[in-house]
Amino acid sequence: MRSIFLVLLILFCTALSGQDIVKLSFKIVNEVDRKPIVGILIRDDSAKIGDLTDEQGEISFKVPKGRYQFETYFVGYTTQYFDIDLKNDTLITILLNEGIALDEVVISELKTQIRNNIESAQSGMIEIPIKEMSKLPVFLGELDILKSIQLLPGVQSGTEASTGYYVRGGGADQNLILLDGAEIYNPSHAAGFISIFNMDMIKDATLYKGGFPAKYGGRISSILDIKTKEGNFEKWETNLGVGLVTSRVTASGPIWKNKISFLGSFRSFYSYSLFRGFSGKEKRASLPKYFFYDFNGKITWRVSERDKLFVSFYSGKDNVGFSDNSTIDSAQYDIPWSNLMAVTKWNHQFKKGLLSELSFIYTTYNFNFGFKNIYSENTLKSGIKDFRIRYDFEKKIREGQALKFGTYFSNNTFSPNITKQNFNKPLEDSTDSPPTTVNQVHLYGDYDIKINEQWSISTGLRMPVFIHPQKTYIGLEPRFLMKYQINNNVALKTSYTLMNQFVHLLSASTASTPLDLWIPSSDIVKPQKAQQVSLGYFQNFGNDKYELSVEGFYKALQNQVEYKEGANIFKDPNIDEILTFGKGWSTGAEFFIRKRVGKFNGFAGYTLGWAKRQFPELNNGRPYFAKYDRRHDMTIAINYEINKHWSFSSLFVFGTGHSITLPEGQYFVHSGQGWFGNQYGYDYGNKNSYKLRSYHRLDIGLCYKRVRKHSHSELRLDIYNVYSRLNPFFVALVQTVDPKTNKLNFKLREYSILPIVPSISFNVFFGKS
Amino acid sequence: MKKINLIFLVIIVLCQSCIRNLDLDLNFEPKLAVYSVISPNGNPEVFLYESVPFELQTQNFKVKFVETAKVYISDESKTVELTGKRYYTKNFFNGLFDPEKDYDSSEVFSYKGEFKFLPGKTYFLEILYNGETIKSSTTIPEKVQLNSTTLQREEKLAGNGEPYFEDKLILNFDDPKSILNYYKYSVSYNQTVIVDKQIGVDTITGLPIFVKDTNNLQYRYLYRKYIPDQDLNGDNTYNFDGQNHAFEFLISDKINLFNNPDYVFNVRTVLRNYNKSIYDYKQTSDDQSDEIGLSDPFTEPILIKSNIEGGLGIFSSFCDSDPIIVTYDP
Repeated sequence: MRSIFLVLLILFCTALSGQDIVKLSFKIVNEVDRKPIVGILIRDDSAKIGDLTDEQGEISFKVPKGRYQFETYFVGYTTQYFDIDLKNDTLITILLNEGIALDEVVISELKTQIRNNIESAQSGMIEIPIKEMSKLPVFLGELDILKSIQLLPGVQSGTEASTGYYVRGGGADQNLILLDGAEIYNPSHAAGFISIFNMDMIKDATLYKGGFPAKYGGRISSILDIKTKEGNFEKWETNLGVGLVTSRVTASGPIWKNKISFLGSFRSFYSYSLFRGFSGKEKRASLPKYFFYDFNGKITWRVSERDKLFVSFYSGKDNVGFSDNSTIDSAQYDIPWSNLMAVTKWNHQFKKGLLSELSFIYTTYNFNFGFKNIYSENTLKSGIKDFRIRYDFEKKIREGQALKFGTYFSNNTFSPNITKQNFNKPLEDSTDSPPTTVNQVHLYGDYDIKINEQWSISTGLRMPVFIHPQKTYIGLEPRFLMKYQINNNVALKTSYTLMNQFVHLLSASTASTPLDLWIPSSDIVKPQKAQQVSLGYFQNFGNDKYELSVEGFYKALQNQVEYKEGANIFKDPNIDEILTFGKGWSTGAEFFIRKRVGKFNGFAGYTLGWAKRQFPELNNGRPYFAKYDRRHDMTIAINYEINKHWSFSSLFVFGTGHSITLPEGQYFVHSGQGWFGNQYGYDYGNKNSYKLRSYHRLDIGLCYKRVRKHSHSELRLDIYNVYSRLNPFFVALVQTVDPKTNKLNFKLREYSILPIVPSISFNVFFGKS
Repeated sequence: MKKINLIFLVIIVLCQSCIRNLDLDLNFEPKLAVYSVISPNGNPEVFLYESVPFELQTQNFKVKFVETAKVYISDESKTVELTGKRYYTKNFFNGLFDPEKDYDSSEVFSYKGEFKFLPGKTYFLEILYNGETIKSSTTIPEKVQLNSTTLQREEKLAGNGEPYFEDKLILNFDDPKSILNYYKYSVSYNQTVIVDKQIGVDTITGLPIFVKDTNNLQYRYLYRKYIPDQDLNGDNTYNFDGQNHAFEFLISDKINLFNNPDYVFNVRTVLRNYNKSIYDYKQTSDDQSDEIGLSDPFTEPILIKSNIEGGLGIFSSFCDSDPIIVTYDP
């Protein structure tokens, strides 16, 4: 609905008198049914006046005569501007086109987003401003929700341009990503450069870094709750997007007008195929093959005034294949992976105000790693099947008090590692590890109490029961959040949460790849556990135009899981036996300031953080900095609406380099058995004691929008890494031969992957504007 | 076929233009590397080396002996200073490494002394070097005796129908549950070790351990439920149960005496019980040597485990069973 625009019409102005102070009134109504629209923000920045429309869609200001520049602000929509030369009492009626009639959810969001950081006891939570983010420069023309959240304080990115992220010193596997309530185990296409989330489908997203509501569980560092849009119940629309990397087509419209709607979007990666196509025949044979596609769909049925049913569907697949002909026994690799998700939800409103949501969720995630050469064929498979039923309830007891409770049951089947080693033997001689099936039952309850104007408390308890064939774990997870509001614009908040995690991602690689294995807790692998406390200062100022927050946190992690050093899943297929367990802790402070409205808007965030781990079997038992320990992390994002057609944006990010381990010395390693087995060893000092160079870059973007009667289009020019900083992607000690002495040498090489990258993209929306 | 290789390969193929060489700015400080493994069967010997900077060059690695340290071994009641001495040994470096310039490849330097060690007791190593004190300690494992060693001959038929004899050696022992066991069995014939395997059963964690056969570098086992029969040269898959163990393996290929069936000889068998620290040291140093972590950016490097405070290397211990000598008399 990005293309929807506002038709602004001043119906009439009424002259009443010639006084110096005049009354300026607005009324905003739906163009079609003339019903008032609530919650539209109208303001003049320079005059410092502004407010939301009331239940009648009206708002009035008493202001001196003069010239005013008003803007209307709708969450997620292009800001509209108009000039008024105010000489008398004036009533302006604004007709909104049918297409932009904001539904109740959006209106509610508008109100809550502006005051939420002050009014709510919730801390550690950010409602992702998707439309604000969409104005910022994007990489290769691809707006990506996961890359957007990396810009927020307390969230660190993984490797360059990847969708992986780390929250408050936690691991990548400690982030729960929900798409319409379905758990996504691998949210990446293209080895993490692009996420599986098609922005045409996303309505909103909320990230919890701490202060987790009891509704959420199963991960210990963050929850990202992404919800998809509903289709248009009135008329059909289509949206086409062409970028350098992907192209997509989205269609939305009524199957049964005002009753059943459909929204579907198909996206495909094609540019690399084109690149291969333009390559010469010989070069083409040596290049890797790659493609991906994904499809999202959603059907929504307004069954009655009290009932709504929807079915949401996602299917996506990637495939990488390439040959390594550098050795005599040339090898062929084939690596496909896929996600499939289907969700059915029934929302029902009981007569006494009790709201319920019943969900049936099915998810599968599969990947294969195939390798073969003339001697052997290896297949490593990993997969998860996830079926769950949720039943959530919410009831407002009285003003300021709300009760939320619910339960869910899930049945998960993990096939974490099936290795087939087929050394010139028939395939049936290979061995398969049996899959593991686990069941979970979770119960939760949350009670929010507004004690008075100053104090608010939210208490919750979650009880997960995890049933593995060999072991059952029962947890109790208290959640407590408290707010003290100093005045109308300032609040202090604190929180304590305890979380358990029953699935674990094993990664022998520092890069996020589909080869990472998900395994469930077992009698050997205990659930990960995290306790987190936070304290924050929140302030709005400039008539809610600006938002400021400072939040400190401390997080203690138990039962962390890693591979033992040197473990190899091909050599040691019994995964339980090659794991090691330890603990970790992280602490930090997050600073955030945001200007939401006005022609000139944006935000800046800074995080100061430390993250450490300690494993008895790693680093000789000494504590060490986590791989993504990042001392400083900063983002400055600015958007400027030049006029109704043009907008300019810029983004600057800075981060301390990732931790790495380098050999400092060499020494003689004595076998104790005469000469045989003696060798030299490397002294690495402390694990992760070195840092890559700092990461920083500046992106800029220019956007031109054009609106026509039956279509609207957007042309974007984005430049990633304007000053072409060669940021380190990784470093490696590469063995080389000195041509003069013919001796072997090591060189420390730094690899960067993205210098300046300009991109152009074009989106067009077809539908009545 | 490591996965990190293929990731590396893909990235390198796609990003050839964004590579630059860096100068290494490493925080090198020389460290003392220790090697000493004590047992009730002998007197202590401590090797001391100094680490050298990582100079981006792997050939002609120089072994730098430390000759000026003060080395003490002690227990609760007495302390003995070990004396440093240079001596000749056979093929210690075997041309793989260069000792310092005034050594040759048949010379080493170590610290020796006299000390009576007992199973179950803890001993302390203290080294004074360059104004610093380097410390470690080890507890000698309990002695685990062999119950019996049996030689067994079986007549078999070869593929061509010809009969042949298969000679097996069977070692039997009881595994005490109260201690960590990192076993190795040693079989020697005419004072030459013919089998030198390391095995272990961790009776605390309940997990069996097979320590790498130093004569067979291609195998590396960490924790496995069983040892495949081919690794023990036996006929059956061996399942550990933490109780009684009987290791059975062929010695025909080790002592080829079929052409002289009247030959009578003795086989000496010993079960060696190691402290875990030496297992960790050997395992991680072998793993580091096997892995390609230096050139692979996506894999975490393997750090060699050490129990030396303020230094590198190992101070560990073992305890041998009483030997059993069996006579082979066909």
